[in-house]
Amino acid sequence: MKTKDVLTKRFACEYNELDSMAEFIEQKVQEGWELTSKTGTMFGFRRCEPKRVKVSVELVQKGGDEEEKERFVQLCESTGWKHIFSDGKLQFFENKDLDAEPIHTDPKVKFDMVHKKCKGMRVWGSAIVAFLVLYIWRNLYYPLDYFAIKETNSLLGFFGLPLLGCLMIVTLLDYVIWYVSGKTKINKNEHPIYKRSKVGKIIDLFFQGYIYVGLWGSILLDAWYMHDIKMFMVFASMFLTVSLFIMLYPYISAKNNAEKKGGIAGYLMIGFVLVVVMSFISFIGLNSNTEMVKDEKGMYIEVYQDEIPLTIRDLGIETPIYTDTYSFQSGSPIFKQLYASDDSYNQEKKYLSYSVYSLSYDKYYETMLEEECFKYVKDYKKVDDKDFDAKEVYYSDSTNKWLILYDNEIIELHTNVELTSEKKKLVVEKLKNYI
Amino acid sequence: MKLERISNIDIDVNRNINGGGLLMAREKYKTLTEQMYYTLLALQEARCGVDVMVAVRQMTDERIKLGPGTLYVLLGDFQKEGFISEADVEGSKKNYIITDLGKEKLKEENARLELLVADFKRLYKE
Repeated sequence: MKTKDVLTKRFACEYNELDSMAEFIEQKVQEGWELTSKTGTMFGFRRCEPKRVKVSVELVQKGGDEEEKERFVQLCESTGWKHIFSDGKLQFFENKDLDAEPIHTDPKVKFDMVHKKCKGMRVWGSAIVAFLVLYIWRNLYYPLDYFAIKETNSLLGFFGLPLLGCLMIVTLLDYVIWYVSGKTKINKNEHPIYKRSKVGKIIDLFFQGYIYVGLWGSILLDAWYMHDIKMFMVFASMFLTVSLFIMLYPYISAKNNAEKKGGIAGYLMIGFVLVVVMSFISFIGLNSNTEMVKDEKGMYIEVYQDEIPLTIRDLGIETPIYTDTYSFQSGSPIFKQLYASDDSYNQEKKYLSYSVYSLSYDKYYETMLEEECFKYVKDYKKVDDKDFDAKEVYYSDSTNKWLILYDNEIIELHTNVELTSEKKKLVVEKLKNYI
Repeated sequence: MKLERISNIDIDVNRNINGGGLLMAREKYKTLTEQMYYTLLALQEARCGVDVMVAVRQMTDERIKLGPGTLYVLLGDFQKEGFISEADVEGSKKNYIITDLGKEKLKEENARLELLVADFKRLYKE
C-alpha cells in the first residue's frame, strides 16, 4: 500500500539472515523512505531525503530487558552507529560512514550467538509440526485414499499440515547447510554470510500460500459443502477481518509514526472494524436454528428446528408437544453426506434418523459401504425387498437399521417405525437423489 | 605404548577439535579468540563497555578493533561463565572487572599461545 508519505512493505527473514533485512532497509533509505514501524514481517516507512547509509540489524540477547537494550544501544552509538529503530530483540542502526567498522567484529562470537538464537526455534518448530503430523496420522480414521476423496476440500488444510512438516524439514536442512558453511568460514576466521537463501524465499512463498490458500481455502470450502450459508459467512467474515487487520495495522502504525501521532485513533479504527465484523458474526450466529420449548414435564429445553427431507410425521407418527429436527451436511466435489435426525417428542416413543451418502467416483463405492456402514453394524442381513427399488437392501434386527444401496448412493435408515410398502416408497421418494 | 605418547596424541586430538570448532557450547571458551583475550586483559581494571573498546584499541595499537556488538555479547557470556563480574553500576553505565577464574583462563590461554610459539621456534624450517 502506498500513499504520498507512507509506504508499507513486507519482508520476511530468519535471525541468521539479518544482513538481507539491513540491505532491504538501506535500499529503501536510498529511495527516500525511512523506517518508522515494524509489525511482524510488515515494515512501515515515511518519506525522507534519499541518502546512502550503512544499516545494521542486530540481535540482542535479552530483548525484554530495557536497561540491557539501552546499554547495548549506548555502546553502539559510542562507535558512530545511530540507533534508528527497535523491535523486541532486533535493534536497527545506521551509519553515514559506508566503510564503518561493523558492530560485530569477531566472527565466532556473532556466529555462536546467532546459532544459539536460531537452533531452539528450529528444533521446537520441527518438533511441533512432527507431533501434529503424527497426531493426525494416528487419528486418521479412514484409509488414506478414501479419506482423500471424502475430504477433498480439507486436503489443503489437513494434508497441508504434512506439507508444512516437509517445509519445516527443508527449512531445517537449509539451516544445517548454513550452519556447516558458517562453521567452515569461522575456522578460516572469516565472517559467515547472514543473507536470505533462495530456499528460504521459496519456503516463505509456500508458507504464505498455505495460510491464505490452503488453510483458509479449505475452511471456506468445508463451509460451502456443509450447505451452511451462515457458517460460510462467518468464516468468510473472519478471513476478511484477519486480512484487513494484517493489511491495515502496519499501515496505520506506519502513518501514525510518520505523523508522530500517538496512534490511538488508528488503533481505535481497527478496533471499530473488528467490533463491527465480530458483531455481524454474533448476529447471524452459528446455532440460530435452535429454539427453547417446553417438554412434556413443562421444563424448557433447547431443540433443533432444522429443515429435513423426511420427518417422523411423514411416517405417520404425531408429535403433539414439540418437534426436534437436526440436519448436517458435509462433502467434497466427489463425496457428499447428509445426516438428519428427528427426535420430536411422540408418545409412541418412535425415533428416526438417517444418513445419505453419495459418491461421484465408483471406485470407492465398496470402501464407502464398508467404512460408513458395515464397520459399525456387524449383523446386517441381506433382505429381498422390492419396495425400495434398490440394488440391494440389508436390515439389522439388533439395531433397527435399514441399509439401502443404489448405484452411487447409500441410504442408511435408523428407525423403529414399522415401514409399510407405502412408507418405504416415501423414504425413497424423499431421500434418493436428495443430495 | 608409552604414557607420554598417549598424552601427546590426546593433546593433538584436542587441538584438532578446537581448531575444527566441534566443541559443545559449554566448552566454547576452551580457546580464546584475540578479541576475547584482549577483553579479559583490559578488564584487569574495572571498566565499562566503551572504556574496554578504547583500551583494546590502545593496547593493540589499533590492530584489534573490538565492535560494540561483539563486546556486548562477550561481557554477557563472560559474566555468565564467571570470568568477569560487575564492579559497580553508575546509572546505565556498568563497570566490569576480571575474576580469579578469568585470570586463570587468561593464564591458561597465554600458556597455550606460548606453547604454539615454542613449537614454531622448534619446528619451523626456513
